[in-house]
Amino acid sequence: MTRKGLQARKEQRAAYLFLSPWLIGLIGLWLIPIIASLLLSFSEYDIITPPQWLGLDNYRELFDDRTFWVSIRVTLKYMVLSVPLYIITGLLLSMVLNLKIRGINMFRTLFFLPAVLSGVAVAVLWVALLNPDVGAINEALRAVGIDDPPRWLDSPRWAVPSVVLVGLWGIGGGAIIYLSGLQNISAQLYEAVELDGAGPFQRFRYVTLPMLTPTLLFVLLTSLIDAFQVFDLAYVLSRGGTQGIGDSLTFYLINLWDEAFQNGRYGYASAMAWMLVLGAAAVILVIFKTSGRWVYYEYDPERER
Amino acid sequence: MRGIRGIVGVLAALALVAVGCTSSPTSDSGGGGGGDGDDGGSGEQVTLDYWVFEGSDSSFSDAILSAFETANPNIDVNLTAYPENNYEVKLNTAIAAGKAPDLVLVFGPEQMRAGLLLPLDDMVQEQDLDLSTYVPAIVEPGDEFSCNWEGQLYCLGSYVGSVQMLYNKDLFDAAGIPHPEPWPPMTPDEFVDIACQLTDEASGVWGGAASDPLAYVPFDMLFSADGRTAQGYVNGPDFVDQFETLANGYEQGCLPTSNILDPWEQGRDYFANGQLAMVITDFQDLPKVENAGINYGTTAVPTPEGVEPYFFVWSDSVGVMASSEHPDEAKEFIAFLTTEGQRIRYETNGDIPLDLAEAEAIDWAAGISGREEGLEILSHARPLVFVPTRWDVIAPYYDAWGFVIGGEKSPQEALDEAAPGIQENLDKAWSAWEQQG
Repeated sequence: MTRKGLQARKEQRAAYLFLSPWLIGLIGLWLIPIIASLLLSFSEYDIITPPQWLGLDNYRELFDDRTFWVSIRVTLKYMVLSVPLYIITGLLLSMVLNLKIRGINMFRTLFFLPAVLSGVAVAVLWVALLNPDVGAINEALRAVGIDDPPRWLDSPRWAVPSVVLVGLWGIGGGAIIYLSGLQNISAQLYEAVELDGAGPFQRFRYVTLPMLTPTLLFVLLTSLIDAFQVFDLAYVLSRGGTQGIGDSLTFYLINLWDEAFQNGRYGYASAMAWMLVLGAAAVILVIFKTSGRWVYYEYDPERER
Repeated sequence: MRGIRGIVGVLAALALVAVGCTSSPTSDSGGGGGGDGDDGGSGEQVTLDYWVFEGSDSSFSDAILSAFETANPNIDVNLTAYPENNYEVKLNTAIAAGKAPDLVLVFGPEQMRAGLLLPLDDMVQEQDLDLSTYVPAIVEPGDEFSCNWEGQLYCLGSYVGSVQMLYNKDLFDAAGIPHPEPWPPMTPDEFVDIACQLTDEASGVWGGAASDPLAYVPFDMLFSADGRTAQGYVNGPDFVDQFETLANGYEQGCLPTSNILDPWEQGRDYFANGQLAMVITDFQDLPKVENAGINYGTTAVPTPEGVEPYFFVWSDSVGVMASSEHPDEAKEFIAFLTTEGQRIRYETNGDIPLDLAEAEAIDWAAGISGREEGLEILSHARPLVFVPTRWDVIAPYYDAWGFVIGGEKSPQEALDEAAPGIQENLDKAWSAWEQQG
């Protein structure tokens, strides 16, 4: 072997040595548990007795499980309501926060503050606010003449919208991401369209929105992932994962948590976890596949050719 | 490529080892009928791990641990509290890891049936405990609160708790309503009627508080005698009638909903403040009511006509894990808990001793009529139809109640909708129970 080859091998060994702590963590705390959960999804496991191989029985049982389909319906309902709402309100808020007026930094801080509060603390606060009998929101609605206000978390119709409403509290976090995107849009683009006589809406439509599409893609993906994973908010709002009146708050992860930790069916819960992974992966794949049609990147190698 | 395949193969093997590497705790622990260990001997310093529910009686826990450790200088008790919701999960995880505590709270026959606990009959004999004066619902075979499984005793506690109804005698007198007898109980119709008479919105007084019909209606009304059928019982005319009765009370504004006050968590506070004329709640923490100067009486929970009255009875039942390395010392703790511990509990919390002879010896009632009535009611405790994982099985019932209170469905509609779900849960619960056996 040449001297150069020996040196390269030495450097490679050193590289692996420095990477080893991270690799050990990746393998031990991520890869092995993932493979273990995949194997458990084909087993019956109650944590006290050894796993028993079941083959595809857990997956077959899922399709016959009424609660499984309810949890998908509730999670999809939440997704359909929350994702567009959070994207649009976050964008509108960021445009307001992008104004160059005195004191704007204070407003940016105030709107971002709820995003750094503990989700559990926020949810506990909202349980009190949304109390249908003595909560502040319904007291205010009665004060303005609405005698029969919604029963919020105690109503199957209003339960999911209530969770969406609570999530709006943290919209400042998304607005900050849009804000950074807005501030990266070149002023020259605005100058150019203004010279062509574009008004505010046209500036938004032809400059702001296209230039923000990479940020929108990021926010869309993270919002969808958050919607799939909603747990702590739903758990506290349903007062301990009771799944709400008429299963109205039976989110997918709440159901998964119940199967694992209430019913002791860790194998079945693992199967549910893998179905979630597959479902989420399919949705994200579709978004990535279609993103080429609506996401505009300033540098596009295809266009350059 | 060959290198990558090798790495994947190693990882898969490691994962299989991780999945397969669980041991059955019963195989390690020697099974349910396992004998005493021969460790611990005389004078050896021993530490017992004792897991309790978070929020439970810290003053009592501190007092009893201090007293036990003083009486047994070679034994330290290490107390750990977990939230009640997570207790079972924590325990199961610890069992799987081979790190179960020595002493645990017992909350159902599943642990006894699975051989996770040691029988205590030998300890009872050695300590010469006379269980004939203990509350029968706890020491004799019965429902999930009993410590007795198939003739063997697996747990004991220091007090007896029960669900009873407190009523404010002064408010009854002011309204000219005769005091109810402690036994037999009034009917739910009478309860709602009296609550409506006693409600005084201007003074901020509610006539009564009950969380939902199952606060007082026996579970026997929801299930067949063998506990395997709910359809037709849950949505049968008798139980629907009970729904309607209590719902009417809410509708008329005579009873606060659980959104306004929770009778279990807040009932005694509101009662002690004179804001409730009647409350169905835990028969505990009576000094709070007495120190507030409330002239109270006690009666059994309302029961529909023709139904044998039932009320929940429980104890702080503690058992010894079969996997304990110090079973003798652990059993000594339980013996202390159920003898000296009763007195300590009475001194710290004022609760009723599990041994009713002890209650008499310490004069627990102390001439207070409300307490004497409570003891009389306790003598009527009976076991309930056994249903595995009862509270999980009836989950749809709470949805039905929510719909009725919210005015979205009639009681019959709500219970007709809930019945199939309850039956399905019941079938699964029995299937799991029989598989476990």
